[in-house]
Amino acid sequence: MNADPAGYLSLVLHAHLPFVRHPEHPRFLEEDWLYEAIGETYIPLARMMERLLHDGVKFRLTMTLSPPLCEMLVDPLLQSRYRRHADELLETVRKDRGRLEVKYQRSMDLYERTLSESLEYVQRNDLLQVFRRLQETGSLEIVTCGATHGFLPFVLDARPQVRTAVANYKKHFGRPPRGIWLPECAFAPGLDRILVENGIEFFYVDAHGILNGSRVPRYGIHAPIRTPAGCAVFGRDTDTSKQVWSAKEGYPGDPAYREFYRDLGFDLGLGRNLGIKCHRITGEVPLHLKEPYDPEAARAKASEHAFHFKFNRELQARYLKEKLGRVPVIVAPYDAELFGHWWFEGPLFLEALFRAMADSDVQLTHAPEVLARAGALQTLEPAASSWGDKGYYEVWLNSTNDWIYRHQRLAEERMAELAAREGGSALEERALTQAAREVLLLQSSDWAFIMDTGAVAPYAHKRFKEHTLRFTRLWEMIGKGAIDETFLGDCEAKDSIFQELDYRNFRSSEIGE
Amino acid sequence: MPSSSSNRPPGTPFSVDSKSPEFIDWGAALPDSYGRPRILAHVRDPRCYFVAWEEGEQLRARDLGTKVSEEHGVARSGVWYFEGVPEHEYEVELLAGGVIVARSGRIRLPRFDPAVVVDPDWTPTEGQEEILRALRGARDPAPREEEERGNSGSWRRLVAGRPVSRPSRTS
Repeated sequence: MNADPAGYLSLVLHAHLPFVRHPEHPRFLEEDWLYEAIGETYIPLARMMERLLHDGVKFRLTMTLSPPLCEMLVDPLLQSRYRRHADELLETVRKDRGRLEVKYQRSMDLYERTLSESLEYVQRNDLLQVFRRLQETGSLEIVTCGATHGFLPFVLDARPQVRTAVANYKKHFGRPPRGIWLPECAFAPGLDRILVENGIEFFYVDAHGILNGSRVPRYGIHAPIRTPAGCAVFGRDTDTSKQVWSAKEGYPGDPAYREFYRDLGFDLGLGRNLGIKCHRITGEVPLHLKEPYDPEAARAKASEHAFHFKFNRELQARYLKEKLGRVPVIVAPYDAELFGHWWFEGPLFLEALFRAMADSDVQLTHAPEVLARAGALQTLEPAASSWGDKGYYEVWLNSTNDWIYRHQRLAEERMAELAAREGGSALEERALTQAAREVLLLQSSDWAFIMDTGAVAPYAHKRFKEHTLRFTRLWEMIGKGAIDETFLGDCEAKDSIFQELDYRNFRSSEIGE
Repeated sequence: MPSSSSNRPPGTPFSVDSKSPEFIDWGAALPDSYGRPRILAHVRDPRCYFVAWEEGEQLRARDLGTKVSEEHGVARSGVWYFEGVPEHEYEVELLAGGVIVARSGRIRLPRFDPAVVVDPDWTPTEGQEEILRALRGARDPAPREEEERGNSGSWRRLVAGRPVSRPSRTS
């Protein structure tokens, strides 16, 4: 290992999905979000890391596994439904591939093989335990997130989101989290104090969160800083982001890659998406003119892009090192679901990149390693910021979603009052805990985000309203001392997240410490 | 985008409250008001903050630094977006019958520009200043072309310049 590398590269993959679990329906379309992400992103990433370790390839990766995602990955109902989902897809591929022309058979071979392997993988493995074991190797650092991905600048008090997340992380990973990915990368001054109270050592902000902070950051965004409360902060690198996302330079738009929008379900006349796609992006042509997907050509392109990415990081790091007078830390965060779901070849790109980085003068790293070798960090207060459109909070606060906040705030105030009491009976304790669950669920930033995009907005409206109404009824019942156990049981069955939840997390003062 | 029920695969049940394939279930209505005066303020960006209220007639927004205030007659319940100045602190009062019936928490708008205060122990060198200048240029906080921003909000709608139909985190 080079003792004085040109730079350090820290890739951060933020894996999160809202808690979507509908035991009241035998099938529920929005649950497919999880099943698609398991098959296309989480299993491929886990298997990639296992292969790298098996081959002795040194790598470092940071991942958020958000608390709702962890809870869904260990849920027996969702696990069995994932197997059913993958099983049915595999059956469709086997049954219908004969209806397709020869030019599509290589794609169908790929799907048949990967679906079989995924099914076999989840039969053999508990996926969350795989990630836990990967973390224990030191190659993967898993950070937590807000309990339900609540948009922390807008909640009455961030403590319940942070406390619940920390407790959930301990349950799943057997140790406290060292870092956190703030939901939507949204920071507001003061949050760092709550993070420190809860043992969090580091978090991430967008570039302008550091550049617009209280002091000129001597090393720009290429060295961590420390907040006045004592939390380390890493800034998001703009160049690495652009290389993946730019319309002009972004990798996922390459003509060789799989076309996301032409789905076999429509080609077969089923009138719905299957998640199986046999065409490549091809170019700026209508969907019906897309050409057949060539898995080998796409794999070669992913490898080419990985080397391009590596080459550019080396140039970037050498330049930064010369100008900054120290080894730069380049932090590149992405939503994990980009890799595999949207960008089908994303996991291939990552694996090729990790293998290529083995002989680079830029070393892969993660935040704990950086902090272990860092000397004193410059202290400054980051500016309010997010990684959303325009860099602040507008995505989660505009005319499509602003109606939710007065309901949310009242529920939060009422929950804080409820949390001040000690549950008298076991039934009241259950009701208080469920009330806390409902508030956490209604706080999820996903609802406001989905309303903003317009995609599946009715589902987001409905979910926000359902949690608000369930909370309100529980609050009324607790207040009257007349708890309807049937209603409570129904809420517990539907919104079963965080079985370990302590409603006292909603107390504003320190708890149990 | 179709609703969850109308987008369901053939042969699977619609949700129990679906009335027809065209029915879109937005969920049960929440109250227009919870019956008492309330007001809430949130930061939106360096030049804008948001207020929601119930049971009032008038809003009075005050810049706590300059003491400048603005007043608006309003509907009983609603929302309002106020223009503000970066780094200024604001508070909004809700009035009814000429009397203050609720007051928002104080909010402070974020910085809009890169930091200018230099920490004597961390004074940038010439080379470091060069990098800072480049970063400031690359991360202009003013709105830019969406596909060039490369941040989460835009790429959730554009992957490499191609529109996506569903939010990536939830797809």
